[in-house]
Amino acid sequence: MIDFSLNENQDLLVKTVEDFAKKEIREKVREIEEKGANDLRKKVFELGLGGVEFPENLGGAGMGMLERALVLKTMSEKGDGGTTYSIFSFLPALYSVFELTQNQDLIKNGIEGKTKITLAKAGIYYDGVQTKAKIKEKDKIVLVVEEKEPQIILFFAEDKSGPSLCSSSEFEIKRKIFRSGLLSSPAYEVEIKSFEKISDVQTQSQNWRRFVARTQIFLSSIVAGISKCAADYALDYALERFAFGRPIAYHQAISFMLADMDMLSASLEQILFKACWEFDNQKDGFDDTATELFLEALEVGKKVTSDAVQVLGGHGYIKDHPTEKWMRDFQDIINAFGSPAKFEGTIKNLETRI
Amino acid sequence: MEFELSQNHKQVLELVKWLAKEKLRPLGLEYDKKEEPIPPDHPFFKEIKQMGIEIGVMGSDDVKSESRLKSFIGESKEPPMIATLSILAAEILAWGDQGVFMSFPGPGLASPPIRVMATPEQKKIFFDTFKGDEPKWGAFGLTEPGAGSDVARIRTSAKKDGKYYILNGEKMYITNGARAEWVVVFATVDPKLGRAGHRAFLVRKGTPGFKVSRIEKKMGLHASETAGLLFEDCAVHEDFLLGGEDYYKSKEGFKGAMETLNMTRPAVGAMAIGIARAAYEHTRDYFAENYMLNAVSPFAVKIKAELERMKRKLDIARLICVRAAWLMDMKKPNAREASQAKAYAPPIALDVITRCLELLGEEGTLEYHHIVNKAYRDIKVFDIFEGTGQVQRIVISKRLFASKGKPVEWGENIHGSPN
Repeated sequence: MIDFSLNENQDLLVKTVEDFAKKEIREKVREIEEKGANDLRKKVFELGLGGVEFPENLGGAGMGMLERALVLKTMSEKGDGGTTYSIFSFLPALYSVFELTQNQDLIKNGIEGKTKITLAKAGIYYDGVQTKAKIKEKDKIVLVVEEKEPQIILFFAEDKSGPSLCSSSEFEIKRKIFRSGLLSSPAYEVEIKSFEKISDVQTQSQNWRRFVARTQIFLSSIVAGISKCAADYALDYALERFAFGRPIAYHQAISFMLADMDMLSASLEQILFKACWEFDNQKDGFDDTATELFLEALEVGKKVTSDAVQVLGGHGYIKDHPTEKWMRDFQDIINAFGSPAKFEGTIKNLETRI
Repeated sequence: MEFELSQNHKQVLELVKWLAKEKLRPLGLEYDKKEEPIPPDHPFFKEIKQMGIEIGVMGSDDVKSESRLKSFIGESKEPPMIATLSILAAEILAWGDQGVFMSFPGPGLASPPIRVMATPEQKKIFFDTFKGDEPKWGAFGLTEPGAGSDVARIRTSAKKDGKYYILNGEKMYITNGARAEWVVVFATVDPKLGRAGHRAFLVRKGTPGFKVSRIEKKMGLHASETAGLLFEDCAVHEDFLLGGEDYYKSKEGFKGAMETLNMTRPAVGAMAIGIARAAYEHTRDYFAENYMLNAVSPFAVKIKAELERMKRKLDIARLICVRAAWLMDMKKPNAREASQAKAYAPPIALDVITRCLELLGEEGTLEYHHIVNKAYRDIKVFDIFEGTGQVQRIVISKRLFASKGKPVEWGENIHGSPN
C-alpha cells in the first residue's frame, strides 16, 4: 500500500543527523572548506553512520539505502552538501567492494575508518560508468583520487578480457588538482605503480547494476539535500531583504522563483525515496529508477542552486553566504563519477509506473 | 515507506482501465472529430449509470461512501485510501478520454461544496436527485466573465427579498452547466465585502430567470460541455442558501469549502498526466513498431532519450500528485503539496505532448496520430482551470511565508522596512 511516511527508527536517525549537522557543520562551512572534513569523518564513524546500509556481520547497521539517503540528504540539507560528500566520499569504494568482490575485511575496515579506501575518478567509460584506465603494458595509469593519503585505491580498468575492478596499494601522489567545488575534498593526481585485478565486472551484470544504482543514490541524496537547503536559504533571505518598499519575497518575480524551487526540491526528494525503496526491496527496474533519479538530480540541482544565487543577487555571488558554494559543489558532486549525460539512453523499460 | 499499490487497488484500477480503453477512448475520439459535446441522452451515460459509476457521489454520505467503496473493492483490513485511489483512477480515465470523463453523470464538482457547506436537508434534496436510473448532472458555478482567479471580484448579485434571494449576473466556463439538474452558484450580497459577502446557492434547472446563455466552442475537450449561465431576476428560496444564514457568520465555514480544492487540485494534476501518458504511449509504441528504439541513427538515439525523459517526468509528476492525495487520506494538511501537484503536472504534460508531436513531425498530422493531436489541444486548459499555474505559485509562496512565521501578503498595515 502507498505510504510516504518514515518509521520511528528513520525519524530518530534523521533527528540525530540533523542535530549533528546543525552543530558541527552549518556554522563552520567555510572553515571546513579550507581545512577539510577529516575530523568530521571521525565523528561520523563514532556515531555509527559510516555503514548504515551494510549488513551487521560486516560492521554495518543492517539498514538500507533509504536510511543511507536520509543520512546524506539531512546532513546536506541542515549542514552542507560539499562537506557531506567529503565525509562520505569513501562509500562508492565500499559499494564496489560489497557488490563486486565481497571482501569482508576490506568492507569492515572501511566502515570503521581503519583503512582509507577510495574509488578513483577520471578515465574512460564502460557501460555507463566511468572506468579508469586501459590496461596495456606500456600504459602509465594516472588517476584522480579524493584522499590525500589513501591506503588502497580502487579503480575500474579494462583489457582484452573486459573490464575489471582493480586494487592498488603501490602508487605515487603527483599533484593537487584545481577544481571549482568540493574544496573540502582536495583531489590529487596519482600514478599507479602496481595493481591487481580483484573482480571481473563483465560476469556480474546484476551486481554491477546494484553498484551503479548505489552510487547514483549516494550522489543524488546529497543533491536533494543541497536543493532543499538552497531553496530554504533563499526563502529566508528573500523575507528579510528589502527592495522597492517590501521584502523581495513579496514581489511576484521572486515569490514564483521561491515556489518553483520548493516544488522542484520536493519532487526530487520523492523520487529519491522511491528509488531507495525499489532498491531495498529488490524491485524490477530499480536500476532504471536510480538512473532517472540521477538525471533528475542533475536538472533540479542545476536550477535550484543557480536560482538561490540569483535570489540573493550580489550577496549570493560573494562568500559571505553559502549559496555560491552550493552552486560550485553541486556541479562537482553530480559529475563525481563521470557525466550524468552518459546515462541517457540506458533506460530499459519505457512503461510508466507508480 | 512503500510505493506499491495494494492488491485491492490494483483490481479496481484494472477495471477502470478497461472502462477507459473500451468505452471512453473511442467515444472521445468520435466527439473530438465532431467538435461537439456528447448529448445528454447518449446511451453511454445510461450505460455507465447502470454500472454504478458517477462523479461526486463519494462523500455524499460518509458511511454510505465507505460501504459503496467496500462493495466495489471488497473487505480489507487496510484503510480505503479514497483520495489516493481516486486520483489514480482519474489519471486512467483521463488517459481514456478526459472530455468524456468530465461528462460523466453525477453531482460532479457541485459535490465538494455541498458536502462541506450544505445542511442535512439540502444534502438530502440534492443527492436524492441522483438516485434514479436516469443519468443526472450537477455543476459548479463560480467563474464569471470578469472574475476567474480573483474570486473576490465576482459580481453576480444576491439581494434578499422576503424569503427569497434575487440572483442577477453571468457565470462562465461551467462544466455540464446546460445539462445540470442543480448548479451551485456563488454570488455576492455586497461586492464591497469581498469574500465575506459571498453566498452559495443551490439553483435548480428550470428556475425562472435561470438560462443557458451559450455552449462554448473550445480548443479541445470537445466531448465535454462547457456552458455560460445567465441569471436575470432569478428568485431562489432562502432554504437553498447553502448551509443557511448562520453558516456565513463564521469565516471558517467558507474557508472549509475552499479547502476542497486541496483534493481536486492533485486530481487535476493526475488527469493531465493521464492525457500526456496517452500521447506518450502512442508515440513510444509507434516508434517501437518501426524499430526505432534500438536503432543507432542519430535520430533514433534522440527518440530514445526523449522518450526516457518523458517517462521520467510523467512518473515524477504522478508521484507528487499521489503524495498530495495520500496526505489527504492521512488527514494531514496538504495545501502546499496540492498546489505543487497542480503547478507541476500540467506543464510537464504539455511538454511531453509537444515533444511527441515534434518527434512525429509532419507525420503527426496523419489520422493515425489523432490521439496525440487531440492531447495537444486538450491539455492546455489544465494549467488554467482549478487555479492557473500562477495562482498555484501564489498559494505555494504564501504557505512558504507562513511556514517562516511571516505574513502571507505584504500590506499597507505591515511595516518593518528599514529604508
